[in-house]
Formats: sequence, structure tokens, C-alpha cells
Amino acid sequence: MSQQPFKPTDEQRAVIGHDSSAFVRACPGAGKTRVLTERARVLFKDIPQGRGVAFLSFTQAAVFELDTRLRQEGLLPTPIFPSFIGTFDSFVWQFLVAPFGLKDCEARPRLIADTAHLTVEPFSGAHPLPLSCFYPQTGVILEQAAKIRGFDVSQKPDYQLQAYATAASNLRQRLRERGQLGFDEARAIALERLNDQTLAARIAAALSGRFCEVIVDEAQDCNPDDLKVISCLRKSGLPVIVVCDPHQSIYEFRGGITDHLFEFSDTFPDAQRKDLTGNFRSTPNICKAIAQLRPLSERGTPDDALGPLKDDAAPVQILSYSGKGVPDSIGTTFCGLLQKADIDVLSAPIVAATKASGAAAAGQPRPAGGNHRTIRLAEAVTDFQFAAGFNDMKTAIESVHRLLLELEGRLGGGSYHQYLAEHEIEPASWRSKVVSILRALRFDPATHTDAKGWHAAAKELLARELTIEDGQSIAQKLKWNDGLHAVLAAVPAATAMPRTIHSVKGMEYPAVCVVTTTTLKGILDFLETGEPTDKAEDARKLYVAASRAEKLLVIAAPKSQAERLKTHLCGQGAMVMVTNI
Amino acid sequence: MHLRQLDLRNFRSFSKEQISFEKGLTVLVGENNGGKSNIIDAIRLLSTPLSGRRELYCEQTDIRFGVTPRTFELSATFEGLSPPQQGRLLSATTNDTLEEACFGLTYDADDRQSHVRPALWAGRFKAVPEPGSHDMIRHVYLPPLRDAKRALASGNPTRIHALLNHFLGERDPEDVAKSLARTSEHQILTDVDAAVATGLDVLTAGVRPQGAALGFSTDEKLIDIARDLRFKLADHGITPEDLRYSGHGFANLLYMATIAVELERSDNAELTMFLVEEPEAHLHPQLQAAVLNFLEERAEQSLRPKDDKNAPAGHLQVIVATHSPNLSAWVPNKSLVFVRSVAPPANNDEGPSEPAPAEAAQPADPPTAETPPPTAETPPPRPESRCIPLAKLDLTDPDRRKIDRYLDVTKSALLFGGRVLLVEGIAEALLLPVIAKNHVLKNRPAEFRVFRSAVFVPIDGVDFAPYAKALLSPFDGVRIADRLVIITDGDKHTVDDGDTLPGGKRKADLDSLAADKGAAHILDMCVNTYSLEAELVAAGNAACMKEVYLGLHPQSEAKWDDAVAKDGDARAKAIQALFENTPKGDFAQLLAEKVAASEAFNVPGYIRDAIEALVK
Repeated sequence: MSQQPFKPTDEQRAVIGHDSSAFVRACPGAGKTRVLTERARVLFKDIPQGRGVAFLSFTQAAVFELDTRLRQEGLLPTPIFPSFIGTFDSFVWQFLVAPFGLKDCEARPRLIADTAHLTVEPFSGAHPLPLSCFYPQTGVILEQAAKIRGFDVSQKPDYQLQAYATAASNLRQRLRERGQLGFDEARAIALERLNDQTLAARIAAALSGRFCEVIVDEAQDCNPDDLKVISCLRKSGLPVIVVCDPHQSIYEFRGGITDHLFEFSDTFPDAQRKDLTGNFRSTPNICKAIAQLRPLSERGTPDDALGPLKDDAAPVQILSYSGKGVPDSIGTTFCGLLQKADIDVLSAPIVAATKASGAAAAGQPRPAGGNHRTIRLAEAVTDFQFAAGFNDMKTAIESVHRLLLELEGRLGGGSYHQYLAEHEIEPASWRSKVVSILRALRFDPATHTDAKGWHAAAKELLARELTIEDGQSIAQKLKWNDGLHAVLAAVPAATAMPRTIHSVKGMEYPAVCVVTTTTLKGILDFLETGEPTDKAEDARKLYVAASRAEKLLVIAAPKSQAERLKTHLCGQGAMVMVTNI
Repeated sequence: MHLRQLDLRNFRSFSKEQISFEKGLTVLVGENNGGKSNIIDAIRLLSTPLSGRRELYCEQTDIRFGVTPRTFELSATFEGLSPPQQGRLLSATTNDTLEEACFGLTYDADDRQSHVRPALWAGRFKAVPEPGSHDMIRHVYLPPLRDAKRALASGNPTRIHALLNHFLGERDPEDVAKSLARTSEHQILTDVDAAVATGLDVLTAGVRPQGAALGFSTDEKLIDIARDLRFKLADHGITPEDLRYSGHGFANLLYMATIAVELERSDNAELTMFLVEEPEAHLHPQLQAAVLNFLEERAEQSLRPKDDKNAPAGHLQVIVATHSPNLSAWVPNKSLVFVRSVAPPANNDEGPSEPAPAEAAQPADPPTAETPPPTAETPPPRPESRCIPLAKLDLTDPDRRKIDRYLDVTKSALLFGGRVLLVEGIAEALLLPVIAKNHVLKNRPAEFRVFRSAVFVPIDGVDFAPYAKALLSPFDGVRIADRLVIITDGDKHTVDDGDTLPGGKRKADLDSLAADKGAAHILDMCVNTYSLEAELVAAGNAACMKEVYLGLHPQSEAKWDDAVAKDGDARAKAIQALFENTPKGDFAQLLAEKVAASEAFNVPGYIRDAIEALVK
């Protein structure tokens, strides 16, 4: 971000100074955070005593970014009360669920982050499905979600589906009795509140008295229920600023559907619809190329490159690879390009839809060990060591904590977060122990010699640190797996970090290498013709990944599609080069 | 929004109690050690001080002695939340109307953690409140003013510093300090410097020459200035003099005024509870009323709607703890909460059944033959504090107005409870203590002490019912009075033979009232046949009464002899006629002198009964 005094464009000024509800469509790199910060400055300048602004976004990372920015600018007091900043889910939880509890339930409601992962297994030997595959209200299976997990609804007899639905409903009922709610259930309950006219009016009046505006950032991640909540707030007279880029909606798996967003935007009168089309991030070629990744019906013209790179003429690069899998030559070629462009390798990720293909491209193939405990431990140790940020570290620490609880046999049938909530376990009570284990198990060829040595050391350490009471030994619980060699050997040298598309949302990097696979054919079909529609989400993912790049955008494509991709990207005048690797 | 109810569990002298509060002003009255200060302290622990400087923290010793587990819990319920308040205090609301909020505090000394910290919770699920919301409810605490002079005097600059800070506004404290700083420009200082320098030059010559200058500290901070500022006080129009020459009382008022200044900050809070403990210390009764008036007005002003309906309400609620009958008499009885210490009933549900305590400790429930005497294994239950909000007693509005009017004028300690003696007129009130001391309770010093602790209330009439109702009505099993004795005249001479005695009817009515309230064992009605004077004569005191009477009416010997010579109703009527133009108070005063001096005084039976009943 530039440190120069901020000179807003006309579009930006219109959003900063707007004085009622608004629906703002912001292109990638539109300086959204900057605009919201400036808007906050205007709002806070004359804010009356006791009133605040609610800032909502959809991921912890986005909230963290906005929070940091607002604090740097001295716009957020500590404590932040009566303002609010947090995820949409936490807002819904804090203002619509927690104070009211559950109908006919005395238990204190608790948000359990991972109830969606609890397993539904209606009979022994049944294909286990996570709770997230079932509609919260009815328990009916979500076909698509189940299909991804290898469960084809159309191939199953009705009585079996009924058994699944009953099992899922029963599981939810048991959770509910204990006040334990997942995000989906919490949202359902919030909607119940809002459907109660009297109560909804009361809540709306209370929130209008407290907040002079609610700003919803990244609103493309809203699902229809979220939009209902926002509509309700807006109808009550509370000004709502909705900021989104519908093309970046990539949470279809949690029900984020772009069509609803467009319908929602239609409820705003013209004067309340704003666009931010100036891209301050990327080069003109990148702007032109990514415009071609929007669906045909919404393609529009490329965004204007207005940032420091507006005169940079570097072309978009396509790396055409042959063979079945994703080759590690993608990583090495990308690194070469980075070197030529004088871009630090550490600031340029290799982005793919899945962790596995990204890792393969970076030359760090991950074993398909999946749920094997020893592999999970080794992965967490490696992830912790090479963490790209605090969030990665936290994930690694949590996953080891969970593993330790599993080894000690404490989780029983419940989920990790359920266990934490029920026993009121605070991170402070275990984090230091887990971190010291992570540090002690850091793979070092000098001490451990090889994966076998590390495995022995891990068993020895955990036998000392854990209390296992079910009679099994640590050796039985932490068995050898051949994948360990690969996990522990995968010490990234000077190579770009593999990342998933979801993890780079909202970020920007000097250079990005997007890895596409065989799905690219379908994506191009969709982009050229609008069919098949089930590729829309994959296309949006590609859009999100590609639009992260500031200076250098590299797309690795299977040989069969490379030229076709080039032709498509050039559609609005972008300069694109194809290199065979 | 205001504090409606406080729930205390195992907190100091409280075992389990709810205390209710009125919107503007609540006065906690009661004996020493009753628990008034504990209520004030509970509010202090539950809310943030307006100044932000917390002076009271939870301690292990706050847990009621001897209870297990070692925890106490406080909670405060606020009602009447406006929509903006509902928005700000949503995490603390207790039901779907959103109009009520609750904050609580649980202190668990059995927690295994090394630092025992009170856990703050809110709302119906006792969840963690939204950070910052709890700070919207504040308190200002005014301690019992024992030494306001010292609080305002030098060496203790905090109060004055707080005032300076309050008015600082946008000004830079450095600048203010600079412009208030004293000058060092006077010739006399230069002279001193020169004289010192001469000697210093000689002494340090050839070594390291030193310079010296007399003056004030060059970088005085605001707090240094505050240390040297003095409040001066005097009657209006007279040049104020230094506080140390003023009386305690006015120094206290000044101190209160400085604190009231801080209340301006209460505008940024939803509610500020102004907690005043014993405002009567060092204030004479008229000033006590003035102080209370001042507080009540501030509370009323704060309730006016603000221009910005969404802004914090800035309401003020005043809670006063006092044992001054003057203060309690001054406010409507609806604002009074009577706080007292009682022994818990033996059949309560905490722990094994406890034996009845010694009689003095359990006045509400006298020991019966079945209850075993206290033994070493089962100590008598620890007394606990209980509260009776007078607003919650079953009294009609006319009853309340009657009591208020009476208290306002007499400043009686009627509602301070314990042992209460209600009599018709001043004559009984004057004579009874003398009779008790010199005759009935003579040589019984312990019982006489009990007698002295009783409250004597001449109601100047015969309508005892409102007072009896207030004293005997139970609230959650506790009453204001431990023992109530009412002396009334039979007034047989005022009705025809065969009719019910007016006094008898009063007795029947009041006895049935007591029975209704489950307080029959507390009330003793002592009724004579005619009236005080007639009964005194009948008891054989005619001689000494005659002497007193003739002292007031030297010409009326024949009339007196004539009346006393009669019998029955006729004598009562005649004696009544004798006293028609005699001030009964004056007569009682003179008679009291006689009674005190005379061995031969005969105590009428009903008076003896009343005195014995009162010390029972």
C-alpha cells in the first residue's frame, strides 16, 4: 500500500461520502479497505456519544485486516464498544442468538466451530457423512455435498436416505439440547428470531439505537440466509453499506450463491448502487486478462489499472505442461520468472484449488496419508516450522492439540471444539505445552537422521508427555507410515509457497502462479458459452486466484488447453505468452 | 433504566437475599451491623466507579463465614431499558422483551487457579458480557464522612487534583500548571540569594564554585499545585477562611459538592448509582435533609429526556445507607428498605437442621419447648442480614400517607424496628420509662437495658392500624418489629353499659390483624378499662396525683376530692372532666418527678403487663 496522501477517485469519493444505505460493487484491487477506512473516518468524526459502527466481514483474515487498518488510523478505540468489528457469524451470534438462547432450552448457547464435521453414520458400516451434508432444518441430504464425499444419493434406496436424515436430525437435536450450535444452526436460529415480527422489531430498534451504520464487507460470501438478516436490518431503518465483488464468490459449499446477491442488489434504488472499477493493484495486462475470467453475461469491460503499475507492460504468462499430473517444473519455471522479474520468491505463492496440486507444482508432493495420525503429526510439525503467518501457526498448534486429545482418548464421540466448550478449556492452558512439543519434534537430520529416527523420537516424547489410560501403548497409537519420508523430506528450499485459493482471498502478491488442472476445459467452456453452469464456481475461483497478482500473473495449464486459454484471455486485448515446460 | 434488584448469595452477612430499589431514591435504614454497608459494597463490586479508580476488590473474607463451597455471588438487575440501551446492553438482557438487563459476579475461592478472580457474567445464560457494555453502568461512592477536612487538606491532593482535571477540558495541564505557578521575582529572594552566595563563594573558593538560588520548584506539575491549593469556607458574604477553621459539617458538605461535580461525567453512562453511606455523620438534621434534597433533585434532573434519544441516558439513582431517623423520616416510606440481622429459622434448607438460637438472637420466632438448647456440636446459626422493602409491604396508600405525615413531623424511629411500644399520647410515653426504671424493672438492670433499646411512639390518637401493619407485615418471612406492644385505653366511660369497650374493639381488630400477618406471638395489646389517669387513681395513687393536680390548679381541691370519691364509670367520667383543661403532657411531666422519687407508687396492672411484654 502506498504511503502517499490518499487522493480518492470520483467513484471512491462517492462511496466515502454517501449518506444512506448502499450496495457497492468493488473490483479486485479497488482500494476497498482504504475506502472503508476513509468512510469510517467520516462516520467517526461526528459520531454521537454511545453510538457506533458495525464492521462485518466473512473471514477472520478479512476482519483482522480491516481491524488492523482502522486501528493504525486511530479510528477504533479499545474497547471497541459500542462499535463492533467481527465476522458476520459472530455478529449474528452476539446480537441475535446468544442473548436469547434456544427455544425450550435452558442451556447456555455455545458456538461450536466444528459441529459440521461431526460424523453421521446411521448404521454400522454405513458410508460416514459429515453433518454439513444435511440441511439444518429438515436433515435431508445435500446431494452435491454428499457426492463430493463419494456418496451418490441417486444410487441409494429411500429407506437408507431416510435413515441418514433421521440420524442427522437426532444428532442436531442432541447438540441443541446442550445448547451447542454450529454456524449453520446459529444462522437458522437467528432467522427464527427475525421471523418473529415483534421480537425482530425490538431487536432492530435496539440495534438502530446503537449503530449508526452497518458495513458488510466481502458480501459476495453471503448466503441467502445472511442476506435475509441484512435485509431485515436495512428494512428497520438501519443504514447498511454492502460491499462486494460478486465475481469473487467462492463459498458455494456453504451456500453462497451469486444469483441471490444480484437479486439483493436490485432491491437498492439506483442512487444507492455504487461501483468501484479502478484497479490499484495490477498491471493493465492482468486487468484485461482477468476480465475475461468473469462469466459471459457479466463480463463487462476490463477494470482501469490506476495503481503504481498502470504503465507496466509485462505480459501474462501461461506455462503449458504435459503429462497426467501437475509437474514440479511449474515451480522451478515460476521461480526462474520471479528471478528475472526481480521478485522475492517468498512474496509469490503458487495457488491451486487444492493443497495437493499446489504442493505438487511447488515440488512438495504430499502423501495421500489423509487421516493417519503419524502423518498428521509430521505435517503439523512441518507446517508450524514453515508457517507463512500467525494463522498457519495457529492451525498447526490446534491440529496437534486435537491429535494429543485423540491419542489420550479424550474426545470420545464428540468433536474437538465440543470438548473444549464442554470442559471450558482455554487456549492459555495448553498452548505452551503444544508449542514446546512442536518445537521439540522439529525435524532435524542431524539429530533424527531420517524419518524412522524422527518417528522413534516422537513416540518417546509423547509417551512422556501424555497420559493414556485405555491400555494401548503409544506405539500402537502412533504407527509407522511410509508417507513420513515424503512429509519430512519436503523441506521447502527457495521455492514458492503453495497455497489454496481460499487462503489467498483478499490478499495481494507481487506475483502469483495459478495452477489449473483438467477442470480448465470445463471452465473455458463455461466462460465461452455460459455452459455448463456447474463450472461457474470453478471459474470464479480462477478469477479470485488470478486477480491477486500485482505485477506478474502466471497460469499453469494442461497442454491441451493452453492455447485455448491464451486466446480467451487475449479477448479484450491482454498480452499473453505461452511457454511449454 | 434503574437498578431494580440486587441478589446476594453468601456475601458477608447475607446468606441469600434479594434487595429491591426504587427508581430515584432508595434509603437503606436499620441498626448497626444490619448489613447496609454490605449492600453498598456489593453494588460497588458489581459496577465500575465513575472515576475509573476502583477502590474495592473482592476478597476471600467477603464469603459468608463458614459456608461451603467457598463462593459468593452477586447480581444486579436493571429494568426499563430504552431501545438504544437494549442495543448496547443486549448481551446482558434477561428476556425477549429486552427491557431488563442483569450483570453478575461470581467469586469462587475453591477454584484451583492460584489467583482467585471474580468472574463477571451477564444475561439469562450467565455468559461473558460484551466487552465495554458493563462500563455503561457506573457508581460514585461517598464514604461515611468522618474526616472530610483531611480528604480536602494538603498532603492529600487527589480530590482537588480530580477537580482540576475535571475542568481541564482541552487545556494542556502543563500550561495550567505554569500559569498557576508562583513567581520567584521578588527582591527579597534576590537578597537572600546574594547573602547566601557571599558565604558560599568563600567556602567553595578554589574548589568548585557553586551557585545557589531560593525559589519554587521549576517544573511544578498540576498535582503539586493541587497539593498546595486550599479550600476556604465561610458563611456567605464573609471572606472565606482556611478549611481547618471550619466545622466538620460544612467541610463534609464541601466534600460532597466536589464529588457532585464529578457527576457531570455521568452523562456518558446509562446509569450512575450514587452511593452515600451515613450522610448524617457530622451533619445536623437540617443539613441532612438539605443533602438528601440535593441528591434527590440531581436524580430527578437526570431523568429529563435528552435531545439525542440514542445517547447514553445519563440517569442517576441515589442509594443512601443511614441510621438517622431524620433522614428516613424525610423520605416517603416507599423509598425505604429496612435492613436487619436475624437468625435464620431452624428449618431452613442449608445444611442439617439447626437448633433455635438463644432468645435474644431470634426474636421473630421464640424458642419453644421442642427446640433443644444449643450444644457444642451444633452451634447456633449465624445471624444473617435480611431486607424489607417498605414499598413491597401490603399497605394501602392512605396508610402510607398517614405514616409519612407522622414521621415527617415527629422524626420518629418507628421504622427502625426491634422492640416497639405504641401508645396513644405523650403522657404514657413520658411516664412509662420512669415507671419501668423505678418500679417494674427496678433491680433488673439487664431487662431495663432491653427496655431502653425499645422505640416509644406516641401516635397522638387511637388509629394504630397503619403502624401495626407496617411493623408486623412479613416480607419473605422477615418483619420490621421483633416485638410490638400497644397500650390503649378501654374508654368504658364513653359508651353505654353493655356496649363493647372501644379499647376492646381496638384490641380485637389489632389482634386479628396480627393473626392475619402470622404475628400473633409478636403483638401484645394492653388495654385498661377507662383511661390512664382514671387507672392511676384506681391503682391507689390518688394522693400523689392530687398533689400534682393542685400544683396546676390550686383552686380545684374540692373538685378533685369530689371526683375521686366517686366510683366506677362515674369516677372515670369525673376524672376525665378534671383533665379537660389540663395539658396532659405537663401533668405527666410533674407526675413523673413524683413517681421517680416515691417508693409508694402503685403501678396499674396493664402498665406492668406492657413493660413486661416489651422486655419479654
